[in-house]
Amino acid sequence: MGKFNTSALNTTPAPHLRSPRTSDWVMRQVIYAMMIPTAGAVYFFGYRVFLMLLVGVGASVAFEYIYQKLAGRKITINDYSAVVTGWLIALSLPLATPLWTVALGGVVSIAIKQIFGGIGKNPINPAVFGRIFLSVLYYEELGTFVAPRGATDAFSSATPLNVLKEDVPIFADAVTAATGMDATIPSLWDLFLGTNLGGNIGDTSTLLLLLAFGYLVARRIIEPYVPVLYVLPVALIALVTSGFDVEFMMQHVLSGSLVFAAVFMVTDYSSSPFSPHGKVAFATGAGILTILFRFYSSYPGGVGFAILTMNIFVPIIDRLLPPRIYGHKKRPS
Amino acid sequence: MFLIVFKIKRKQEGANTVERKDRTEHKQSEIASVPEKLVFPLSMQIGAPSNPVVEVGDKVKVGTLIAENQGMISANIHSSVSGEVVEITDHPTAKGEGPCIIIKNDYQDEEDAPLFTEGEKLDREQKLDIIGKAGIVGMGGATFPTNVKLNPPKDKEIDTIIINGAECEPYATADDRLMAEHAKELIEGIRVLLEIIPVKTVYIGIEDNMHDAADALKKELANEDVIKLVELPSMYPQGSEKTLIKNLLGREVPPGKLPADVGAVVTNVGTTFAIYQAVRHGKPMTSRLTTISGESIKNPKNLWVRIGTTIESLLEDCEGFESDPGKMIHGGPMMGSPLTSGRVPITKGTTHITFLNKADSAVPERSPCIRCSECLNVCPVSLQPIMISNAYESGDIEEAERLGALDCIDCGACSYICPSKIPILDNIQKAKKEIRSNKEGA
Repeated sequence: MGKFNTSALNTTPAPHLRSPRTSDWVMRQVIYAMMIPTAGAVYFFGYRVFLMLLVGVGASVAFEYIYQKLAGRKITINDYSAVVTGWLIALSLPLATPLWTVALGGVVSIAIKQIFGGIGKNPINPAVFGRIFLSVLYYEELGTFVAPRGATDAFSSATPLNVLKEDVPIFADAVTAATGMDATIPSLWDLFLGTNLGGNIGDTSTLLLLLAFGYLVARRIIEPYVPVLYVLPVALIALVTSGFDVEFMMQHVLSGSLVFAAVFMVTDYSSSPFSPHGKVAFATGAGILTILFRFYSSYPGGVGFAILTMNIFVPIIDRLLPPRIYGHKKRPS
Repeated sequence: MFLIVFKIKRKQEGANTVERKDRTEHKQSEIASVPEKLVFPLSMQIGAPSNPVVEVGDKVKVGTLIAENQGMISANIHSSVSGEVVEITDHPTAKGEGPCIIIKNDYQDEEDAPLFTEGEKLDREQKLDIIGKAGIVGMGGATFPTNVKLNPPKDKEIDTIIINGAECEPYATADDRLMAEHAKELIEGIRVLLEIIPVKTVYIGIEDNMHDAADALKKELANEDVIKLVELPSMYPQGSEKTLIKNLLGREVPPGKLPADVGAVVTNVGTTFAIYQAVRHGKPMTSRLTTISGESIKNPKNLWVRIGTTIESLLEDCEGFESDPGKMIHGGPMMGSPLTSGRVPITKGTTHITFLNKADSAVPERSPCIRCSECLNVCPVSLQPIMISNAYESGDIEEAERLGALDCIDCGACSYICPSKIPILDNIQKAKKEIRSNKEGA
């Protein structure tokens, strides 16, 4: 009984147990979280949402496969990261977006990920890059937001952010001209729930995004302080510059892609710093830049540009803000 | 309580799988059967190997000194049975093949004279001397000679003694059982410590999932104000000395320094029990509580094992295997070392032997790092493990050193948590080895 076959024993070094978490499990959690705003998108905008997701995800996965095949790399479409990217792109576009535009967004996103060497190596957030790429190329088309089902007789409605940009009359006019209606600012309650609102299909309901946030935190996929620190400077600066106009502040927080980006974009692993303090700097910096871009650029939605700008600083942040090692007085330098 | 919970534990996939104590944590300890031949490695402790003082053919009793310490950091070894020395030879041990004294058991269990005569009054120096003579070393696995630890240089002011009962390895339950079944003796051991190092505060640090131990200790500590029980969150690696000091006292041991430099002395519960037996009853260290566990074991147990008993013998006490083991580990799956021979004996530092099943022993396939930064989140000493691992893999040893490779405490939490299954700890350990050999070479 005491004797046994020891030749079959594995002798690899410690630790001998590994967590059941795998990279594809992590990515699947992000997909589950995205299903929450996706359900809202279907409810608000109808079944075309499915078509957009299918095209976004399909184009991303297919392009990743083709790229890796041609580049002679290992095919990694099984890790679900291309699915996540394509899904995010689709959610970040308005309902009227032509399907080939959605596909192009997925392809561009995957391209930016692959040219840096694939998963974990891209210093730039692929979905944000893809979305900005599209909004620059199709500035007018993507400015047109189709109102959700059940919203009064409007064919399309302006997103509140466009309306908020009073200091850029040209832009507001363009929107009004494009949509053929007077843009009015939606109520805060509508903004929170996502009802009677135009916008990108995935980012209209702050409530659903908060639920997705809760899921990702509970699953230990994202750090809770990252989205909070991203939104906080936007709220504070809006509050202070408006002379403590709480409604103005809430409009800035609830409208546009702010919360969507806070949950799904600012938390992206690959394009974020490593250390907790680095993440704090990154999220706060992106928040400050977002509100500055919203105030002082002629382009709606500073979210994407703010994130891309902060992406540039990640290597510097990583270098300057590593954690202080136990027992040491200073950070390693 | 000034308890710093420096990491929030959030739910991972399913339950918190880091813990697999359920098969032995409530099991009353049993006395292991004693085999015919016992094996005493001369290198059971950290530091210099012991020097044999017996020859082949010598008769020994339980407690007879068979090898003595050589130099400051070393320890005495005593026979755990009565019988005859039959061989002094190389034999498989937990540290690989090494010189061992082999004793044939005569099953008479004759006892040698105690370390001091009953009723004798002992002063501080004598107590320290007895602990040294008894061959007591840190039984939590580090096996550092306890008499040296309890006698820090005079200029170090010690204000706190910490009793480490936070066994955080997934299958370890021996310390838990020891506290649950021998709370009284353990506290008597703490009184001995207080006689040697008079401090105002003693913390017994345990994890908040050790209910049997907590109940037993609370009962004994009802009217006590020097010795305090602290239940820490069960979180790996709570039982690491540095982690425990930080979580209990809010102090950090500077690099290259010892707990005494921040006013603390830390001893494991098993060691404290051994101190009780030596200083109160004159008994040298000849047995210990060891857990035999893991999914492959049919009937896992907490066993009182004579030092020198082979694993093979203990397997019979546990009714052998339920399934073919994939890995046999001296210690636990987080920091233990893999074994390849059932002839390896239990030594003073053997907290447990873990038998993983085939499925758990499989080495998962590695995939690219996704920069999730979980290794930073779980590192108890706030390193950036994956960056050190990357530096090592790209051949940049200087960068690995700059990033603090030498501060790593080898807990393995980084490799455990990594979703991409990168052998992070393995790389850091290799980097450390290279840094150290470069320094010696310079």
